[in-house]
Amino acid sequence: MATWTCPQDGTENPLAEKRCLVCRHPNMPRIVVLQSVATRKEAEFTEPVKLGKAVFTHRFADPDARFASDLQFEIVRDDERVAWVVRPFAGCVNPTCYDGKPLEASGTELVDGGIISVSKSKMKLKVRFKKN
Amino acid sequence: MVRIYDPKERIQGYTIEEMITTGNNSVSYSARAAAGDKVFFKLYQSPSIRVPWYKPFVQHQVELKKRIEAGPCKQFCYKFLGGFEHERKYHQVFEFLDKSHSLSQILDKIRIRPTSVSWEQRELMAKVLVAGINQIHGARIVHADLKPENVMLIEDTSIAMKYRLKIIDMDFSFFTDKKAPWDGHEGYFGTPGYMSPEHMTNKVPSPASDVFTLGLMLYQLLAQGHPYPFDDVEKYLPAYKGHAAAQPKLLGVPKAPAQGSVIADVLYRCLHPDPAMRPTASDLHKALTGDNAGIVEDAETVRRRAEAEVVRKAEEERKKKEDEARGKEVERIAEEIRRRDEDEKKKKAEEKPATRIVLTSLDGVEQSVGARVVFGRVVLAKFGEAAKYAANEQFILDRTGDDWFIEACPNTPNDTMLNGDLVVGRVKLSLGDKVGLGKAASKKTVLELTVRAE
Repeated sequence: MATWTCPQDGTENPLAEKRCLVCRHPNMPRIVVLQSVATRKEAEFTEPVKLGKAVFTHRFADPDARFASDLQFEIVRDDERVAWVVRPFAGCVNPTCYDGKPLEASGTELVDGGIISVSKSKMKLKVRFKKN
Repeated sequence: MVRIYDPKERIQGYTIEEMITTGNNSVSYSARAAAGDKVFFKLYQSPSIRVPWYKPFVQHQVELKKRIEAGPCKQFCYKFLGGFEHERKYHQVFEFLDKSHSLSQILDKIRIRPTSVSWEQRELMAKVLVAGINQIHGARIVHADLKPENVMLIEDTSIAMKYRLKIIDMDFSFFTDKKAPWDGHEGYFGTPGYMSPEHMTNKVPSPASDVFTLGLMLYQLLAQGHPYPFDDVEKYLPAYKGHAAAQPKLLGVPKAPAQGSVIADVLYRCLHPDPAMRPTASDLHKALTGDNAGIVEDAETVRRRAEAEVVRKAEEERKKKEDEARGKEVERIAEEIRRRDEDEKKKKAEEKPATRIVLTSLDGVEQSVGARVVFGRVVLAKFGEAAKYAANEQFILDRTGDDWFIEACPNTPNDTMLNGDLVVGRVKLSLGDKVGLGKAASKKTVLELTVRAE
């Protein structure tokens, strides 16, 4: 059975467990990496971040940045859900999608390998997690 | 008689390195397996192969290993590597816990230098220990000999706790769904200072007994120290029965969402003399982690506690009624006695004087009399001038049994009067009677003295 080791007490927990079964330490990756599917350029985040046209243009050099609004979405840590979450901003010209589906207003949980996009197919960013 | 193995001696493929401990039941060594791994090698003095519970004990070890390895408790317990018989003695081999310290050593370290193990580390140790015991109970095993010496902490700097925790010495642990092989042959092992009330009263320990001992250990790890720090073993049981432990005072602030007050309450309840009133290891774990913002009990615990509460309340009610009834009865009897005493006093007062009597004048001057006394002018002088009418020997007060009598002396110029009448012969006195001097013919009296009880 695949497990993750709690960095607090060393307990081997099943991967499905979001918190350590012994000390309830959350199993949340420290770093979120977004990679432009079109340009392969990456950006790493360890803190909550707001993204929009400017970041897409300068960090990812993605020509699809023109389809994004100034503030398109934000990526935050949700301690209750023990997950990184992508949340849309209201009033965007084009909706933000995750794996081809529009985001929930409360945020959609990010999973390793998931794709964030503007509309269903523009400005695609692949999600990757790093432990350290 | 047990043969002690020498270093480098080979037993069934294991090479003895050195003796580690000798216990009541076994001698333990460090040894090397054929593949070179270091192992903990145990030679049993008890059970001997001659006792009837030897074979069941060996089977018990096999099942114990199976239960531990089959469940999540595996990662909290040391590994049973196997057992065998050699020279008519049972042997068992366990994983060797290198770079390890017992919880007892860690507690000593904390006592000497409290900052040597941080509060965060202690809290984590408590959570892992309780989670481990909870999993052991989940495998229907009672450890039954928990103590700080049987909790090992292996150094590991890669985790925040800095140690990995393993529970050891489980070969005399037993199952909640089966009788222990030694039941009826041997008692249940325990260590003074860490035994539960069940251990001390020769009852079969249960998971609640482990919880009691966990409470004793966690008081030392998280709070002010051992709740029953006695040198005299005789003191434990009365203190346990009286739930005499002080409320725990946590030495740090628990990591949210756990709450200090909830942890303190549940730790104190671990030491309840009634096993049914103790929390389960699961309750204890939930309190330590703050799961569900407090203690959420499973259905069985809720049922058990509710039953115990009903019994407790019924018992309390019965005692209250008994006390009330007893109180009323006592009141009634006291009232009866008081009334009887009063009646008797009254009766006595009416019928006869007390053992000592007092003659009191109208001015309040008194003369106590306890034995036969002849009253004359001299004795009566204290009552005033009227004493001059008395003869040198005027009357005699005398006692027979409980009764007092007055007797007039002969040839006195004035008569001795009792309640206005002439005293003739020996007359029995009653309280309230009035003794005086006078003339019977005129019925006049002077020096009136009232007879009272002293």
